[in-house]
Amino acid sequence: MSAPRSAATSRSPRRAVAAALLLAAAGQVHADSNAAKVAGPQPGPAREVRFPAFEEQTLPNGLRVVVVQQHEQPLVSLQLLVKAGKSFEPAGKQGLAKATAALLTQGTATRAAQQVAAAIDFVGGTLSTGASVEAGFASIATTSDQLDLAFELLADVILHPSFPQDEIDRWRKQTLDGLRIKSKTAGYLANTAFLRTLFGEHPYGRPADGTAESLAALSREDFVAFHRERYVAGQALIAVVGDVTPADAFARVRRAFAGWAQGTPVEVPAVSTAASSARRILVIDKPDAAQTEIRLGQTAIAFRDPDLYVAEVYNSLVGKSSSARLNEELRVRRGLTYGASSSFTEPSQPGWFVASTSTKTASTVTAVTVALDVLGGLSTEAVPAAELASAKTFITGALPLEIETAAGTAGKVLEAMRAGYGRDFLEHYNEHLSGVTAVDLQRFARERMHPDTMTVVLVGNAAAFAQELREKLGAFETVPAAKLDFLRSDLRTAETDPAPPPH
Amino acid sequence: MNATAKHAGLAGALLALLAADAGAGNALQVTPPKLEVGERTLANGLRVLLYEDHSVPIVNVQVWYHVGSKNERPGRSGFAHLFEHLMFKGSANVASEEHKSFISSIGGRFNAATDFDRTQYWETVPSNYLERILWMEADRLRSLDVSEANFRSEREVVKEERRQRVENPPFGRLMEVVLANTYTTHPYRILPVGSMADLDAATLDDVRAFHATYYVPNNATLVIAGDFEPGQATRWVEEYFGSIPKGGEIPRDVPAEPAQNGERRARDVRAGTPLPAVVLTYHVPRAGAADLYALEVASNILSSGESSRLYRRLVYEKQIAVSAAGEAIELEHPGVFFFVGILQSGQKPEVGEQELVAEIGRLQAEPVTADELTLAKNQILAGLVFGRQTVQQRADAIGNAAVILGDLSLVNRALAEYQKVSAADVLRVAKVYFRPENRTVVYMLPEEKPPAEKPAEKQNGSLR
Repeated sequence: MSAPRSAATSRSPRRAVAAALLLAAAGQVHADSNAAKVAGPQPGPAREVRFPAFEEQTLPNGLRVVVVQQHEQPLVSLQLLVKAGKSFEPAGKQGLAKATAALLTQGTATRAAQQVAAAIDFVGGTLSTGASVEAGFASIATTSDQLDLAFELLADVILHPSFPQDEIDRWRKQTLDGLRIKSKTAGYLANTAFLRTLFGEHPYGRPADGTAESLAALSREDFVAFHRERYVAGQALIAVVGDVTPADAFARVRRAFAGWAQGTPVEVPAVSTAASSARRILVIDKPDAAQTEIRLGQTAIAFRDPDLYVAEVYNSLVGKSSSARLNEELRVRRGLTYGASSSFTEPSQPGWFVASTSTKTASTVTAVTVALDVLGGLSTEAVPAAELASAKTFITGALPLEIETAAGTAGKVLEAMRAGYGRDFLEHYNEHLSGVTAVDLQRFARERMHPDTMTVVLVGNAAAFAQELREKLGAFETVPAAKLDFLRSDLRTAETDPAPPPH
Repeated sequence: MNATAKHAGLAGALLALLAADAGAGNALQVTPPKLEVGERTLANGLRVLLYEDHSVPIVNVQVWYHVGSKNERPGRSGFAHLFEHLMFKGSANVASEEHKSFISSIGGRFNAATDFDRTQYWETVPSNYLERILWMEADRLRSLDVSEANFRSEREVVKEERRQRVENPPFGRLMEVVLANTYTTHPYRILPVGSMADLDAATLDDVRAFHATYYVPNNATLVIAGDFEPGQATRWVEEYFGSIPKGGEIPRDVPAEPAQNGERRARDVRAGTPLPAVVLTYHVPRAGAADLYALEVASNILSSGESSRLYRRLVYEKQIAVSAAGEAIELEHPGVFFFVGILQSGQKPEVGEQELVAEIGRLQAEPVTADELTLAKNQILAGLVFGRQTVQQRADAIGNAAVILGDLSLVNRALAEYQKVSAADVLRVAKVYFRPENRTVVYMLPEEKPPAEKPAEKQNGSLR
C-alpha cells in the first residue's frame, strides 16, 4: 500500500509510519478520529487565468453591445437587458414589469403567440423573457446555424410586441393560478414579505409578481405604455455570445436594432439605509407547514459602493459556501437545517442583505438566535487569517469555473456594465477582493451591519413557536398566510373585505 | 412555419421570408462535438474514464457508485442517500467536513446526488488540484470513518432535506404518491429520500455494512474530465486507488415489477395542494432500450415548448391547465412514462384526464407529421449541444452512458439512434406502452374544506 506521493516528500518519517498504520487499519471502518492524518498532495503550478476578451460598441441610439466569442460549441445566445424591472413600474401597478416581459413573446406585429413558440421550438432553441428588481430581460439561444432566426425573433419580441387582448386574458388566468401555487409556497411568502417589510413603499419592496388584485387591474394600455416608455435602446445592453465573429455580431445588432428609439433615462429613487431603531419580527402563520422558512436581514449596499469587495468577502464568510459560518453552525454543528446561506443584492441604490434557512417547526427560534449570533460575531471578533483566506479564494479561485462558458463570461460583463463599470473593473476584481483585510471586515460588520435590529420574517406554524419566540426575542407581529396582502403596508387583508377568489 | 406578414412593405416581406426559411422542415446543420473517452479498468475493478479538454484550466472529477435507493433493504428506505451525506463526514486522512471546506477554500465546487440507481460524487476545481482530489476520493472509498455523533447529526440534516424538498412545498409529495401507486413491488415505488421512520431506524452498523458491500472499487466508475495530462492522471489513479482491495460480488437481487394487467387509480387530497393535478403513468422499458428513443421523440412532440401538443391543447386552447407534460423517467430497470397536467383552479380532474387521454389516443391513431419528427430531432440535437457545454456536463453524460445505460459508446452514438426513429416507430411505441391496462391514474387534489383533525396522509392512496 503506497502512501500519497507528494505528501511523503514533505512529511517526517515518524508520521509516515503512523499513516501507513492508519491506512492498514482502514478496512476496519472506525479508525480513531484523533489519529495523525496524512497531509494530502500539494497542488502543481496554477495556469494563469485572465478575464476573457470581449468587444464593446455603442449604437447611435444608445444601445450598448458586447460580444464574447467562443467557437468550440456550435451555439449562440443573445442576452438583452433593459431598465424595465419592477423598480420602474408606475405607482399602483404591481406586477406590471413581469407581466409585460411575459407578454413580449405572446404575439408581435407579424407573429401570433403560437408562431413565436413554433419558430423557436422547431430549432430546439430557447427564448425567455422576464423581469427582476431593475432589469427587464430577454434571451434567445440557438445552434449557430440559426443566427438569422435568433436575431430576427429577439428583435421582433423586443421591438414589436402587440399585446393581443386574448393573450392578456390567457396570461392573467394562468398567472392567477401561478399565484395560488406561490401562496402555498413558504419560501415565496418569506422572500416577498421580507422585501415588503424592509423597503416599505420603496419600489424594491414591491411584490414582483403582483397580487390577484393588482393583476386584475392591469390593462392592455398599461402594457403598451410600459413597453413604449421602458423598453428603449438608450437604457439597454445586449450581449452576443458564442460561435460568432465580432464584426458579424455588431453588424447584425445594428441591422436588427438600429430603428429602436433611444428613449429617456430613468433612475431608482434613493433608499434610506439608516438602521432601524428596533428589530421588526413578522410571523406569517401557516399551520400546515412542516418547516419554518426563516429570513433575516437589512438594507445594505449598492453595486457601486466602495465597500462592494468587503461586503462580498463578508458574505463569503457568513453564507456563500457550505463551509461558511451560517451553514457550519446551523447544519454541521446542530443538524438544524438542510442548508443556510446569505447574499447581498446590490442594485443601483442600496439593496439588501438576507440570511436564509429553513428548519423543523420545533427548532425555529433556536435557528433564528443561532443565525443572529453568527452575524453578531463578525463585529466582536477579528476573522482568523486562514478563514479569511479561504473565504476570499472561494470567490477568486472560482474565476476559471465562471468563465468556462461564454454565457458565464457574458453574465459577468453585463453585471459590470449595468453598474457603469467596464473592462478595468472585471480585470482587477480579484485583486481588489484579495486586498480585503480582517480590519476592513470588522469595520464593515460594526458600521454597516446591524444584527441587533435586523428584520426577521418567519413563515411557519406560529402556534408551535410563538411563546418561545416572545421569550427569546420579544414582540412580533403575526399575519395568517390566508390573510396576506402584499399591497397593503400592514401586509394584511382589510377585515371588511372578504377578498373573493378571482373565479 | 406559416407566419403571415400583417403589414405590407419590405420589412414585413423580409420577416415572412426569414420565418419561412427557419421553419420549413429543415434539420439543423450543426454537429455536436464528439467526446473522445479513454477507458481502462484497474486490477481491483475500478473503471476509469478520461476525457481531455484544455480550454479552461479546470478539471471535473466524478465517482459513480453503482448503488442507489433500489438497492436498499426493506425498512431502510432513504439509506443510500443518507449514506451519501456521510461520505463527507471524514475518512482516515480527511476530517469530517474537510472535503467541503478544502474544495471551497480553493474556489472549487462539489456536490453529490443519490437517485434510484446510482450515487454520484463530483468536484470541479482548478486543474492543478487534480492529484489532491483523487487522493481525497480514494481516502473516503478506502477508509470512511464516521463517528456516532456525526451520524446522528447528519441524519437530522437529511430529515430536514426531506421536509424541505418533499413535505413543505406544494406538490412536493406528488412524485412520492405517484410512484407508490405505479409500482407494487420494485423499490422504485419509494423515492430515494425515503421515509422519516426508516431514516430514524438506520444505525452506524448499517453504514459499515453498506460501505463494505457497495463502496468498493469494483462497484465504482471514476470519470476525469477537463484540463489534465492522461499519463499523469493515470499514474495518480493507480497510486491512490490501485491498492484499495477489490470487494465481493455486488448484490443485484432487486425484486422485479410484475407486468401490470389492469388500470389502477388513486386520489390524494391534502391541504398543501394548491391546484388539482392529474398524473397518468405507464410502465416502459429500461434506459438504453431500443424503444426509449421513440418514446423520447414522442416526449418532445408532446411537451417540449409552448408549441407542443399538450401545451397547445390543455394550456393554450382549452385553457384547463397551467402546465402539461409527458415524459419518461429513464431508469436502469423498467421506468415510467408519465403524463401530468396541473389544472387551473376549479377544473375537474376527470376533464384533465380526458384531455390527456385524448392526446395519447391521437398519438396512437395517426403518425406524427414530418415537421414534428424534424422538430423533435432538432430539439434532441440542440439539447446535446446545449447540455454538454461544461466539462461537468460532459462527465455527467460519460458517467451516465457507462453506468446506467451500460454502454459507454452511447455517449456519442445515441444521436444516431434518435435520427433513425420514424413516425411509424412513434405510433408503434404509443400503441405498445400507452395501454389502459398498463396505466395508473393519480388525482392530487386540494382539500376543499378546512383541515380535519386527522393527518392528511391518512387519505393517501384511497381508491376512487
